[in-house]
Amino acid sequence: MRHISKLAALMLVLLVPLGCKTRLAQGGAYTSPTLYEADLVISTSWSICDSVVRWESDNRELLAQVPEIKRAADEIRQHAPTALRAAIAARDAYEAAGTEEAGLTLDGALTGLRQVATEAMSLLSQYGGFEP
Amino acid sequence: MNPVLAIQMMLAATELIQTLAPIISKAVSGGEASLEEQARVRDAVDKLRLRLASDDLGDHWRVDNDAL
Repeated sequence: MRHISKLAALMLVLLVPLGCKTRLAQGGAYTSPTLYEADLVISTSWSICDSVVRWESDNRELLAQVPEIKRAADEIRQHAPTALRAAIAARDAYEAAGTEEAGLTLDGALTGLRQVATEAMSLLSQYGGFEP
Repeated sequence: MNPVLAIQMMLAATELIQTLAPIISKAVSGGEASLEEQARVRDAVDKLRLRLASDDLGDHWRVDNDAL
């Protein structure tokens, strides 16, 4: 049950729009909450996707009894790197320009990345016995 | 699904959740992002940049069509 609530909390983090919750301690690596939150989404999404494809790879013999799992993991393998690159490029462009347009592009890129991470979490919930 | 298989899959997923739990806890803590948390996030993204640039995400990221 603890695991289920943690997964639910993580899904909330992935869905929170930029600029909604974070205050930054002064003197840190970030001066912009938007950039911090973008990097938090990027790093968290990476951790989720990397962990899920590793889980599939490490347990392939066992999970082979449900071929849908490898197919879904391969979808993540194909789409996550592209989504991560797009999100990083968009956050860099926002850092350089700081315009509303760059902010919208960043939101779009992070939405694409959240979608891939959500699919990875769905794989766990569907086949790992956990509901997000 | 075979109940034994279901339990084995759940155990494997539990290991994964334990790996993700510390990340999740930090991500949902909210409030003020401490200096350490900011440094952790910046470092994670910097390392990810390097891995993406070198196309080296690890063997588990390779799509192996002959595996099954």
